[in-house]
Amino acid sequence: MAELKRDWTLNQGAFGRLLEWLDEGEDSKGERYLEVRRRLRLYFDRKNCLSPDDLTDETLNRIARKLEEKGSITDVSALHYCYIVAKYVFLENLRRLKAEHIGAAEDVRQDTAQGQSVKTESDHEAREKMHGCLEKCLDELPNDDRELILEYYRSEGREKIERRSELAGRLGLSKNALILRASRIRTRLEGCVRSCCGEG
Amino acid sequence: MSSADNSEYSDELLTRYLLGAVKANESERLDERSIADNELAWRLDALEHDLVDAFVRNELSGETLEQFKTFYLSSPARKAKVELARTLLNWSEERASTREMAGDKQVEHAPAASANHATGVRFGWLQWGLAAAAIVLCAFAFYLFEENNRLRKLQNEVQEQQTHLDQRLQQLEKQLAVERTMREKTTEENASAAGSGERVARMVAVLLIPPTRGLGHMATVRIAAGTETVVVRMQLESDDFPVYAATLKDPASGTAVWNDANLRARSDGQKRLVVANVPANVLKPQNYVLELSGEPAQGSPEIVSSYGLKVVLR
Repeated sequence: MAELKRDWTLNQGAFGRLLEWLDEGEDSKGERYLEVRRRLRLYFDRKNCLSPDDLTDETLNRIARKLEEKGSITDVSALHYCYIVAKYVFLENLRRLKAEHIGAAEDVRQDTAQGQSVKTESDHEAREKMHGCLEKCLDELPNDDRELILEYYRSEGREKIERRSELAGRLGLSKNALILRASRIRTRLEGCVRSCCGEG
Repeated sequence: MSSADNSEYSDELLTRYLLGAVKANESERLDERSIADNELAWRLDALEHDLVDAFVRNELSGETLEQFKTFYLSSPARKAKVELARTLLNWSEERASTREMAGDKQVEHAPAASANHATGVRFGWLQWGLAAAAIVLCAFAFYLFEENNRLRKLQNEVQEQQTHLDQRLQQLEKQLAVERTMREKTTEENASAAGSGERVARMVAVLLIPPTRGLGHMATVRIAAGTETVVVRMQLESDDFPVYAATLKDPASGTAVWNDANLRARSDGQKRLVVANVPANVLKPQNYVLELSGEPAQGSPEIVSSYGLKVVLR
């Protein structure tokens, strides 16, 4: 896959085309883009990359550039194509790190060590900030979702299982539907807290 | 939405994937599906939340705990998730105990007052008898209060069900009237068309299957002049809601061109379907998105599936 030209930047038109292509015929009002971005970020993070956000941007920029050149990409589904590009970006990043004689593992260790020293300095402050952000983000949730989260994530062990099946019964949901619903609300909450705390 | 346990991957394997402990080829397959497969992506989210919560509650042990510490906590983003989980669980427990305490105070108020009053007083048989009677009365009052609440809740539920049944009855009557009118019209028109040798289909049906792995299937419906109703049969991946609502949207503008609510799923062999009658006059020759939402007994509706529909005029 050809590397993105350095002088190419994502413009309004290309971004609009990217959103439309990701939507695959339905107008998700940007929701699909955010979900794809979140999944790509998780992918790079699970690969222990140091800058998942940068690699996610690189992936989406390449796709936008390709769409500008070709007009459309129709041979595979949008999500599958995103994975293919992400994989290339990951492998290229790995090769670049090796070429620069920086082992990814070493970077991770350094990063962890740095993280720990910062943690001791501002641990309390960060926790306070996160607490404030969580309160704010919970306030922004619809009442039903907030109550569901409260019920779903309290209790441990056997009590937790019983409470969850009682909750599912009360909401008229299957156990699996409840799991997915609670998880989606929490994922939304995590995103809100992350952006509130300034982590992108 | 898909069921969370109908995948070929076990929770145990997915948890090992989240802990970076699966073989390279398996990991690559899961990497791909974590992006391209909606169901798996949501399932991984749910499992990751459970995993992080288990760590925060000290429920992990042995190899899993070791992998969590060495792999999962090596990423700042994942560490932040652990921190958030800790904050969320604390908040959740605090809120729950605050509520329980508020509830307990109300219940305990009367006995506490009588206990304070009795302090320092020498109890004779009469006093003991009165105290016992007061306790019995309090307990009985509390029982009545609870029973009253329970009955009120039951009454509300019955009323809700009654309202729902009334609505459904009205809807069925309306549907019956429409179908009767259509049948009469069809009979009349068939009779008049018989002379000229024409025969017009008033209804067309189309089956919409749910999109899988992010690939949207676009069903095509061909409408002849004179068609009045398009019967849309939406196949469900799983039937999780008592009723459903369907909204037909123009994907270009995002506006809803038609909708219908209170639709119930029905069986067709082993499949579950929701059937809606869309008036043909709202349809133009273009692509549409038919959005199906599940309406739980309580809480807000949830989008279950989106089906692609292409309309072609014959």
